[in-house]
Amino acid sequence: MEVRSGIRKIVFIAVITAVLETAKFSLNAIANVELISLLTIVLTLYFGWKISLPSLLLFAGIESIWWGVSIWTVTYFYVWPVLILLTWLLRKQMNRFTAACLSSFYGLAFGLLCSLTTFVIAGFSAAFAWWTAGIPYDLIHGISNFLIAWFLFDPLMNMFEKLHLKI
Amino acid sequence: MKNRKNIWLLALALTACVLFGIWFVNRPKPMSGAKAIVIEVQDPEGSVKSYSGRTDAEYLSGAMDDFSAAGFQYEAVSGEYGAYVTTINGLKAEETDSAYWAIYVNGEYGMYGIDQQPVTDGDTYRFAYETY
Repeated sequence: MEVRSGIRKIVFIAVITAVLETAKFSLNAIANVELISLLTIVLTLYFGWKISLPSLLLFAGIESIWWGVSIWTVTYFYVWPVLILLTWLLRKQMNRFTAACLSSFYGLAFGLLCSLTTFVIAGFSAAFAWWTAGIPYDLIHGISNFLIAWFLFDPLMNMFEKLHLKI
Repeated sequence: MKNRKNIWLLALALTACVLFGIWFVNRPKPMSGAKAIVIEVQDPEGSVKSYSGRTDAEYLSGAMDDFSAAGFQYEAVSGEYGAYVTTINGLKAEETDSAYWAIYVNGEYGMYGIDQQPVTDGDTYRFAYETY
């Protein structure tokens, strides 16, 4: 029974990772407009971090294989876990509005979070220059994340409820 | 409940404004001037860093000062044949290493100091770390 449960969990994580990859590729053409933030929030709320964390780490691994290991693919290994942690901390007061605000804050802070890698590799000046140059994209990220979560949070949560997807 | 929503929205708007302010202060400033030139820096390993922009400077030293906004830093001293460069972007050419910063103008070895080298539209000036 335990083996079946383990297999079921692995398959589930694989399917969720495929969904994340599909979502990522579907909006690749529009810089900093993405569905991953909202999916991370929804998956963490619905399935818990034990499913969302390995799925996001697997997603980061596939991105690294697909695009090659670079600074931004390395950042994926810690930026998404940060959002999982924030979602988990706010889980009791989560609704469409909170999800939109959290997702928006996350989008605004995305460049700052990613610049930590540059800070470690090249120092403060390089990280600051890298971050400030990308602020217009962070603003787009913040606004788009708010709108995406505002319009899609409830439909996604309802869909999972209807599908009765439980591990 | 409505108050809490307003606080969230206010915090979001404030964060966005602060971010915009930080970007506005640090945004890249377009260089103005009639002459479009390129200044290149070749380090001892042979790798080249390039700075392109516009200037109204009559002589190369003036253009180099204009390019400081783009991150080009240098130190120079006055010599018998005009000002010559001692340090570029923190890299000093030490006489004890028989090193100096050579100037190339469009690939040709430069004949003037930086305060005598005229600046012409379209020119490329390369500073190469060389030894003798």
